[in-house]
Amino acid sequence: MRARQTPPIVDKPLFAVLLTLCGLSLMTLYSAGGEQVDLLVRQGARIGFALALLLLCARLPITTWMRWSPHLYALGVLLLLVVLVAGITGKGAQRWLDLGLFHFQPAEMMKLAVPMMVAWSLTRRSLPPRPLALLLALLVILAPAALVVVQPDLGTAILIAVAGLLVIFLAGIHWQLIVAVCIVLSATAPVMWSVVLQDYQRSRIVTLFDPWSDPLGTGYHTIQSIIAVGSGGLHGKGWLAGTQSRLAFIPERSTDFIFAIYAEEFGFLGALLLLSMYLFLGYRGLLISFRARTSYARLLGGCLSITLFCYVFVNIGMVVGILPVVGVPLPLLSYGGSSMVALMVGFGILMSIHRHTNTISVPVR
Amino acid sequence: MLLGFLLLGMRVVHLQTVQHELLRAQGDARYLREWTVMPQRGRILDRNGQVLAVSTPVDSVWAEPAVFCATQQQRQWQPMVELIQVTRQRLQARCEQQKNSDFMYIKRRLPPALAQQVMQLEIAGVEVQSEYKRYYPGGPAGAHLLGFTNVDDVGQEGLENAHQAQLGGARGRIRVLKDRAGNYVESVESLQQVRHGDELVISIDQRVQALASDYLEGAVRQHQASSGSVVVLAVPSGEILAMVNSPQFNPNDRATITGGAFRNRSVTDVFEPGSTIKPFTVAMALQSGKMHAESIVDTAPGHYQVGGHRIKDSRNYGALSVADVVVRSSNVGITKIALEFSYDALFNTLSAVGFGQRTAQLPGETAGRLEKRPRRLDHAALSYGYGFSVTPLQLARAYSVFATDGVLLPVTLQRQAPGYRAVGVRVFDADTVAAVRAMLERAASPAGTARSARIARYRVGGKTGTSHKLLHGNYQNERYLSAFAGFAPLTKPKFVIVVTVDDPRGKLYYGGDVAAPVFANLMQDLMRLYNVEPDAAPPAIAAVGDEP
Repeated sequence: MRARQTPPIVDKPLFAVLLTLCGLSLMTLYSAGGEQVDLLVRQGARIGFALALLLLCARLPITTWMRWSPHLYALGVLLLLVVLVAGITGKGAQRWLDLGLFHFQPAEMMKLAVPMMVAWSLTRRSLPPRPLALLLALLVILAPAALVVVQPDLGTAILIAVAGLLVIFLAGIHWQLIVAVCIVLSATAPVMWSVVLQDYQRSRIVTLFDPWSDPLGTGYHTIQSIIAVGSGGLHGKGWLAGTQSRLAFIPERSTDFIFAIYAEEFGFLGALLLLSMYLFLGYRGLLISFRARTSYARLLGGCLSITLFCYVFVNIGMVVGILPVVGVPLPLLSYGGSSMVALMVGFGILMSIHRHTNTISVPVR
Repeated sequence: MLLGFLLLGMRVVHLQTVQHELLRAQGDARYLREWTVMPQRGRILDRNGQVLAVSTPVDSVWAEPAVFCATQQQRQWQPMVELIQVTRQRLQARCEQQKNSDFMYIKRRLPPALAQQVMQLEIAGVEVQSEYKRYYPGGPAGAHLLGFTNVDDVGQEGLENAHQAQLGGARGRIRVLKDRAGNYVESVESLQQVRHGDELVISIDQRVQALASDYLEGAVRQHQASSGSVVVLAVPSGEILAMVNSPQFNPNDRATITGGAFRNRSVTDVFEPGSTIKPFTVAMALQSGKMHAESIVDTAPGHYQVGGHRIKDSRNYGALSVADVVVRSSNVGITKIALEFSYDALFNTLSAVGFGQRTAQLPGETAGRLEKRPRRLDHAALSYGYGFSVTPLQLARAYSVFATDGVLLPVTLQRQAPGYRAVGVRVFDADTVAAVRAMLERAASPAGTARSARIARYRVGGKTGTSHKLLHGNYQNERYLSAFAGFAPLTKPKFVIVVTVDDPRGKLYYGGDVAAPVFANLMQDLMRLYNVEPDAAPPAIAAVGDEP
């Protein structure tokens, strides 16, 4: 018999890697932002706030999260509607709510609320889900995604949809259905290309294959970031010494293209370390999910871990020129509050799952 | 999932190792630029350190066409276009012209303050380059001699051109960092150190230059002449103290000038020296020992037939001493003297005093024309200054043999140390020169043709020349070139001055009336400026016991 242990609130390895990434983020931002201290202070405050939220979320039992899922989802949809009416316009899109102290992006919240809602709705019945439950889950996913598309923010909408669909996928659906979806998707691809996509989105995809076709226009982002990454070499140019980024050749260098700055200054070794840390985060998250006791926790945890992978892949893929340019920040490294908070809450939920697993497992053994 | 990360890792490896060099070069091309650093052209100073030419800083505004000419950029042009007054069309045309270059001028040579205002507009890609603009504080007086520079401050004419290597220096190159907007961030290294130009000190005395210029302009205007020159030489250093010409131009504003005004006529233009040559013919005769100053030459009846051509005096002077031939400027007398000697003897004498040869290797200098044509008429013409041509500088140099004790001085524009004695070539003996000097003093007295060459308290010597102009192969009856060549103070000459006035169209045209007053005014000033000890008694104002 083992004595009942006080379970740790945080998963120590996970937390350590998170803190390391936040530190790297501040270092890279200091360089990317032209050594502005106030930028650093703002992001530091956000990290502090997000970490506090993480600890708070980790304390909440996973059952509470499950109970709150429909309410959070409903609140999120409501806020998306409010954004459409009263949101702040920036960079050609209406995405933010002015909450006085800070600007809040409801779409970020939906990245968590949608998978929670889908997991909640699917686990009320036995798994694998039936067709009707699937249809309902699809509706739960597509409604908020559509609201985000009209902001317009296609990138985030896709990420929200992917998160929801991941939960369905993890819940276990027939392989025939997957094949069918793939066929439908590829069949409608030409229609999507010519009808749904905007001109700027089409040109982004074209320039992916040949960025040099329009080096000063749509190819500019990709070319500049590839050059920055390539300039880094094995060891990098050293912190605060990346010429491409510091002379403002890289657009969005504090946010979406921060990896270009990181890779130019820290080189291949730095990039390898960063990718390893992300890989560890995902691996650790999946491990926690697989050990979880409830289906809800397993679905949600798996989904959160895999979406982290997706974000990293999509962002770095974009920076190194193997994916089209979409506005996806690099988790934990990019400047920005909403994304940081959403991520930390997600990790908080993962830690809650971890803690819950332990609490139950101890007396049983 | 692992596969995805593997893909990312491979791509990063590919970019950072395989393509590293290529991409780094591409990166460098985006932020490193090489700029030119303009050298500051050396000053030109006169013998007293007075600045004759100086390069003052101006700013040229330029741009990188790739950044500046972009369509969305052109909207930002307006405030700048208004500020510096260039037309939009012109900028667009230049953009089109220079689109494949990484440099185009927007406006050159702006005052630094205005260029600063342009920079404050913060138009992307617009930069300022420090350049220099030549300024000539002396204005028109030294313009012909000094010449001028082009828009890049490279010498084009005159001394500016001749001494380009010394004055010009060499451009430098620096490597600079620029940011995405195309704006200068900092200079990272010097690729080629800029070498500023060296100073050039010349023998000119700007005070004399300015005075000479004023007197010459006055004479040219008064006598409605077409052009003129004044050359002042220092004895015994052979330094050129002044060299001015009319018509003038303002070197600081050359916009409205035509080609002729640029000529440094003192060395580029030639004229037939006329009677100013007679002292050399006489000196040759005295030097031979066959004649002396008091030998008698019969000039009656005032004309003389040579080779089917009648040589005339202005009146019948009767029997004249050799000295009086010079004093009265008798053509018949000088012809008879010359014909006593061989053609070669006269030709060699004129050649020995420098005619037909370049004197100082000045920009644009011509050698004049002195060719052997030993017909009897040519022989006679040579003796009174026809049938060959000289420059004002050559004539001044030739007169240095009378200002020294018979030595032809080399002339120079280099400033020499005080007390410097140029090493010349002896042409005449001191005795010969003393005799000729005495004749030249009388020539510049009431007895001679140049009484207006006299100045107070100093003895001067000099000879007038009034030659018919040779136009279209014929000597013109009523077109003249008036000249005067002389020196002072007579006992120990310090300066030689030659004045030429071309084509005076007023009532007066004799060298004694047109050119000699310029000589007298300038020589008087020189005596004062250089504190020369007087060698004549003060003018006797009703001195007791004097004859009335």
